Amino acid sequence: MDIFTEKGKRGLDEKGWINLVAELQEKLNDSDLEENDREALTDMLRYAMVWLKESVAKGGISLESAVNSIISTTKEDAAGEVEDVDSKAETTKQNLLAELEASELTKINKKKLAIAVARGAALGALAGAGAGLLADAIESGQFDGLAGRAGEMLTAAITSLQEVGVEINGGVEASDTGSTSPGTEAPATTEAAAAAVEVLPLGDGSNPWNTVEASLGFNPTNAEMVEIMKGVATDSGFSVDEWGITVGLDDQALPVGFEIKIGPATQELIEQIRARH
Amino acid sequence: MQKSFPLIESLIDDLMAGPGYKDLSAEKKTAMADKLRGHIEGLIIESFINRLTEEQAKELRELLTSPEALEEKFEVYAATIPGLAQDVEGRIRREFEMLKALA
Repeated sequence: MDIFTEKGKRGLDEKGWINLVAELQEKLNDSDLEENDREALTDMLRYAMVWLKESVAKGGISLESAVNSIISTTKEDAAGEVEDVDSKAETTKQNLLAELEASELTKINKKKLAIAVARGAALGALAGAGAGLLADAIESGQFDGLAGRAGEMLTAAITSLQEVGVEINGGVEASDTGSTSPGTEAPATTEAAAAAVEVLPLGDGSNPWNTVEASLGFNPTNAEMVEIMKGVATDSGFSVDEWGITVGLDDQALPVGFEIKIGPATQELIEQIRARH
Repeated sequence: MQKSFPLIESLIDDLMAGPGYKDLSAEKKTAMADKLRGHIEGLIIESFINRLTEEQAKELRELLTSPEALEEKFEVYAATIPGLAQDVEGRIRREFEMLKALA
């Protein structure tokens, strides 16, 4: 790594030190970094930060100036990397970043994009936890207590995510979240995501089809109902073999009180079908 | 600027209450907090884009003129990237640790 062989770091001016901090931080963000390199870079960063701190303390650099310079340097570096990379994929990604940076005057709202990333990352982490649990159960053949362990894992995952993705979403104002589903407020937290799912309890003598159909407020065709019910089956976790949905409880053996769920994507589908009527 | 995610707001509050920063005027604190929000949101987006495949990045570039579709695709792709939440959190926390160490 060339940074270890560079001479004269001590002779750097203010901008040079700030650039060095940004450079070191960028390198530390590389998840493939080897442990020895990470330790060395961390030491260098600590050294550079001590120098900056001393300069701020002595009044050579104002705190605002140091903060602003670090922030702007990081952005400049991100844009500048376009010229340094020859990989086609990296160039495409850097072009996308640069285009988003240049989109200040367009309708693209970077806050909304950041929220979308945080929301997706949080959901992905939850899904990963669930998949891991299922994989363990399949491997061991031990399904007893699976639901309880799933609950414990979900609670642990939510607790963890409240400090990461979910909490990131937690205080976002409704006007700030954007809407990914027409007619449905985009979920801001796991609880909000759950609230965005419409739940219909299965009544005595009812089935999911007629329960959902009665809730729609319009009369879809059979083909449209099949389309809707495929989504509902997946959202609710019941199987309908003839539609190729083989995971979950048998749709013919659902208990009274079973919660039929209509998730955001299915709600969006219903709104699209409703608009055709 | 509107407030951002609770994690970021909490880290900004913590930073602004720390040595050096707490002595800044209210106006300067507000201006700095706004810049930090934008900066961290940029870091989140950058962390995400760095983990995309070329095909995904190409598809997102084609959606630049459709903000709602773009947001939706960001969320979908973010959900498929293993460990993204932890990566993003780590990066945000490191950034604030560094800023805290300045003062």
